[in-house]
Amino acid sequence: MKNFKKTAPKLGKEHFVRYASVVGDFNPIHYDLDFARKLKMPTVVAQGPLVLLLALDAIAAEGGLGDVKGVVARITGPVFPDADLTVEGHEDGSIQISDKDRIVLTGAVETK
Amino acid sequence: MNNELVGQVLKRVRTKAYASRMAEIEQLLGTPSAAETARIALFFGFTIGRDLELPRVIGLVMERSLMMGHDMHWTRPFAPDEEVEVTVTLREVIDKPDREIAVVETIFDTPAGEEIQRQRSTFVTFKATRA
Repeated sequence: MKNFKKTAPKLGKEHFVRYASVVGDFNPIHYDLDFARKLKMPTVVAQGPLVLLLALDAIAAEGGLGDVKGVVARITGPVFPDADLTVEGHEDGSIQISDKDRIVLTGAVETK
Repeated sequence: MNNELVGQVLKRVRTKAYASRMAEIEQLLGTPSAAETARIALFFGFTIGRDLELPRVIGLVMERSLMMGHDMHWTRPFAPDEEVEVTVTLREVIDKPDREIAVVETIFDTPAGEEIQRQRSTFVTFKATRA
């Protein structure tokens, strides 16, 4: 994988709800503000797999997923609606997603 | 969490890699590469039942739980509308003083037994005494 840095598509609350519908993830933290606040979140948060989806899509855009056999990801911070996310990939296979200066996902891409 | 379930299959279902869901993910992303991405990241194994059954079964209290990690490994992309056998297994529960960690594995096979994808999702549940 070559080095890259890309701006991710912006995700709003409506994307969280649409994604919940697609994969069946009805955890209220993704759409219910009161519930999110019980978890000491300022607002609803994106699904972890949805955030990982952004990383995979950035990798696909940079060179395709044909040589990729897997990805290992750690969620390091919540992603809130309309965050300005940047996806970075590196030659050593490491990836990360940042919300400005805050890293929200780190991981590694495994190739064939 | 329910330690007695470690190693046990929590759910086994047959479903399809619906082309319509691939299209929804493609539209959600709205990028030129989204169609390729959607064929890989079509499912979230832990919610394959499209309900909150599995969190309840393993004792994952939603109000005190967060996702820590999600790993995916695949042999190929899902084919549109192909049938998929999905098996969800509780792999590990780690008890720490202030939290419990659960690892759930989901395997997606064809009905003939060819593995297409494997996911491991890690969740943390903070114990009720957390300040």
